[in-house]
Amino acid sequence: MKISTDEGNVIVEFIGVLVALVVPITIIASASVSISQAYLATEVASRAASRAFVISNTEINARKHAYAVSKVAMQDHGAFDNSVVTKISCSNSPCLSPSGYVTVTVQRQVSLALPAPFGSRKILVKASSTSVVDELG
Amino acid sequence: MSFNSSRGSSVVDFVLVAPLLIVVFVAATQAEMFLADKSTISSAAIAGARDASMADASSAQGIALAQKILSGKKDLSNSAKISISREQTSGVDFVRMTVECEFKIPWLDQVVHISSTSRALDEKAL
Repeated sequence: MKISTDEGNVIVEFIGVLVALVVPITIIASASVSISQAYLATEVASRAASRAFVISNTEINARKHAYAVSKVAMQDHGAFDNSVVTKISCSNSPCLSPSGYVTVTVQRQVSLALPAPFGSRKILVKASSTSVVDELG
Repeated sequence: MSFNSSRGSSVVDFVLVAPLLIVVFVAATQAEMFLADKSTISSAAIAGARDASMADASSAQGIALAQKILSGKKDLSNSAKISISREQTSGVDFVRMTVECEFKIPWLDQVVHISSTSRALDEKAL
């Protein structure tokens, strides 16, 4: 029996190699797209929410607007689910004191579609944005 | 004359594999172009909605900004449909901008519709 032969179908070999390369590349590319989409969504949501907060006339309205804007921005990017958390922090008290800083942080857990041996990996994507309260109030 | 020679087989192998390689390369390029166009349309919708929602701005200004962003890609700007509206969600007023464009796949003779919607807090209503 001759073992060291070059015989074989090149197309079969090519498809074998292609599958072995393309499947991991597709998984990695899909994970990277999910993370970058979530990052874009949290970035846009935090920026819009911090601006919504500082242009509001009362603190109650400011919080209402910031949470609503954050939720809507995440929904527009198809990134809203139960893992989305919006946090608001202020440098001064009350929050809408002139020249005070308001920081809004939006975070979301991204589930990566990895094969079973890798387990269901989750990555926390977080973005913050700070706005200044107008001195004229 | 020997028929067991492997001389020239690499050329035949290449000829067999080349069309598959070309298909993979073209598909990857097309996918990348689709993602780039999708990103441009999203940017146009986000920036347009934000601009139109400003207290001292009009809807026309928002549409003009979205068109300016799309103008970098002629295929997108020629097929773009931009709509703007105002709505209330959870008791808060928003400006909604939707940008719809056509993405052409020449080698499949197909057209895919891409759209993106963005909402921004309506500052005029505050």
